[in-house]
Formats: sequence, C-alpha cells, structure tokens
Amino acid sequence: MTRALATLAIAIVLAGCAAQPVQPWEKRLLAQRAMRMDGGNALERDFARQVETSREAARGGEGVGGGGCGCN
Amino acid sequence: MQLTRPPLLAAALALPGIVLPASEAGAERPPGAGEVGLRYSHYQEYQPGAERIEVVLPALFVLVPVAEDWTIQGQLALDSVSGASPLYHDTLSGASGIGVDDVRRSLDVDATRYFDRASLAFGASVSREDDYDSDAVRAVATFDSADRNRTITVGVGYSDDTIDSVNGVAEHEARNTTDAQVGVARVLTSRDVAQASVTFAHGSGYYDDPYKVLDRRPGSRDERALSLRWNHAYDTPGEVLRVAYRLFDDSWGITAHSVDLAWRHPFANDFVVEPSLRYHSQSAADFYFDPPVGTGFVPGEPYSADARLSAFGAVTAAIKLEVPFGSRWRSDFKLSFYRQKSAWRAFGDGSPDLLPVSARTFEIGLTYEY
Repeated sequence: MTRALATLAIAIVLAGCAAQPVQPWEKRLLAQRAMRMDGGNALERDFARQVETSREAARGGEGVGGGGCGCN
Repeated sequence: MQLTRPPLLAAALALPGIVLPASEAGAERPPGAGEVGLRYSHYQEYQPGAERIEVVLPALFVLVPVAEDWTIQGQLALDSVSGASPLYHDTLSGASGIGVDDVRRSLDVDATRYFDRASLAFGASVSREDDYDSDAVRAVATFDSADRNRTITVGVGYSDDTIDSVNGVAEHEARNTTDAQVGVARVLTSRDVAQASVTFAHGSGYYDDPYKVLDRRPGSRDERALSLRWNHAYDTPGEVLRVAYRLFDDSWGITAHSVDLAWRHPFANDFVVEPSLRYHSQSAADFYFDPPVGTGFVPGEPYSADARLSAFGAVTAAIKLEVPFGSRWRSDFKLSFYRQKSAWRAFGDGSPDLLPVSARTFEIGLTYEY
C-alpha cells in the first residue's frame, strides 16, 4: 500500500496542471510568507516536531541531518 | 550585449511560488531580507496518577543575508526538562525517587548559496545533554525549472550520537544515522502549491532506552517517510489553508499516518488567527509487549514496553494569534492541546492497558525583519 500511495502522490505532483503554467505575474498570492511549505516560522515548526517525536515513534518526511536528542 | 531586466520584473521573477521543505532556506526565500526570531515555549504533560513533565524552551533564530548570493542562518535553543517520565517501567521516574532533570543545548547553523535557478546549502547541528550528545551535518541542493513552477530538492545528512546514561547502564554508546531526501514542489495554479517529499534514514548503534527495565531494541533502524503538502491561498492576502499528510514506516514494524490541517485567517487590520488540527496514528513495534512489564520477554530477543512504541492515536488541537506591531515586527501566541489514546488508533486496535497521555503547550514568539 505504501508504494502505491507514494507513486500516486508523486504522479499527482509531477503531472499537476502542466498544460497551463502559472506565469511570474500570477504568483502574487503564492509569494506570501504564509504560503511557504515550512509555514514560515522555523522555531515554531521545530518545537512542534520535538513534541511529536518525543511522544510518537514516527518522524522524517522533511529535511535531513537534524540533530538528535535523548528525548526519543 | 546583455539584456538588463527592469528591477520590478526581476523581483517578480525571483519571487517564488515554489517553496522548499522544512528547515532549508531555499530558492523561494529572496536573499535580501534578514530576520531575527525569539520564541519561548512551554510544555506540560499529564498522565493519570503520574507526576507532571515540564519542558521550558527559549530559542533564538537569526537569518543574515551575506553579500548578494548567500544567507547564513543560525538557531540556538535551550530546553530544560523537569518532572517524571511517563508511567510504566521507568527506572528514572518519580517512583524511584530520582526524577528527570536535564538541560539540552542545541545549535544549528546553515549557509546557503543562491544561484540563478538553484541553491546549495550546508548545515551542521550540535546538541548537548547530560546523557546524550549529537553532532550532525547536512547538504541540500534545490533546482528550479526554467519557468520556476517546479523545484526539485535533494539532500543528504549524517548524524553521530553518543549516549552516556546517568545511571551507568549506557556508557559511551554510539548511534550513527545517514539520511537522504528527494522532493518535488510544484505550482499548480496561481493559488495552489503542492509538494511531495520522501526521506530515507538508516541508523545503527545503540537504541535501547537505558532508563527502562528490560529494554532491548535492535541494533539498527531503517525508516522511510513520504510527506505530501498542499497550500492554498485565498483572495484575502494572508489567508491560507495548509494540508499535509505523512506516511511513515520502519524496519521495527511501525507504520504511521499523520494528517495536519491549518487555516490562517487574517482579521481586523493584520491580526491573524490560525486554528489547526493534527491527527496521528501508529501501529506498534514488532518487539513492543503489552504490560505488565516482562510479559513476552525472551533473553537475547528484542523487547520493549515503551509506550511510544505502542499502537495508539493522537490528536493535537491548536490556536495561534498573530499580533502585528510596526511594519517589521510580528508577535504570536499559540496554545495547543495534545491527547494520546490507544482507542484512537486508525486501521486497527490500539495497545491495551495504557493510560492516555495529555499535554498542553504555550508559545510566545517575536519576529523582526530587516
């Protein structure tokens, strides 16, 4: 199931709307800080990740080479 | 002769659309604006009949543009943990009278070089605790398509950890982890951006919890995570809907699903309210055994009764308020509630005989852009 989901997801992202590429002058709303994939606040995001990884067994999916901690 | 772009057009072209994963400053961030952030976070955990665990975490973030094409980014955090560990099988718990009291100091530094349609970042992290030291390095590259509607991210990282438990069970034990990431982000419409990212990690070394009785884990762990994100912008500037899903599995037999929803809604002159909801569900590790401790233990075989490796579901509900003051300052206040219960697991039964875990966090943040 994992593989099927992954393939589907990547296909959607790769295929999405290739027919009508968005032009630079149409990107006003996309350029907002709030539209960043990381949410725009590194400290807020890292704290949320720390709370999650200290209570749950899953992690990853974004970024590499993060410093480990004894909390998990 | 070289054509010179008018400055406004150049700025618009450099404007992103495409956004990069997580910690990496990427092509989406115009190198030119510096930033300083301060954040104070407080975490308090409750479990019926157990002492409370409390974490206090002040942190500092600095982003400095250097010359035309570089940024240096640094993050410093200090977390203090006090109180008891969760119930069950803890030799360090309040029951034994020792209690947990630890301070973690961590520093992350990343340097990013921007090119016309690419960026290259190198970073390092250092973290120190009484019983756990970690040193990590990483390199992340991004590549934009010619129309800047697609960004590919490739990254590798390595972490070198050392465990010296204060009870003498683990003496200078090592754990090393190599991880890699491949991601693609894509502008779908003038309001929608999506991203798919996969990370792989291979770790080997000491994984036991030295503070738990009979905790014997495998000497290696392979992890895979698929992360999907979709951000949607509404007409009102600043109004954004963010949806994320992560699928995780590892060589210990754990499969997990996590869904995140956040809706950012501006009101009354640049105030912003952001409610968010997260759901997480995981299966248990192959070597997790239900209480009472010792049930199922076979000498020489992996065994753990750590509730974090059990099967459960968890919900986080949060609300954030952003208050602007001046053109360069922003402040925010965030309150969140976390609850973990066996019965909330999706796609299967939760582990029996575990008490629910609840936590509450409060955060205050301040950001200055220059």
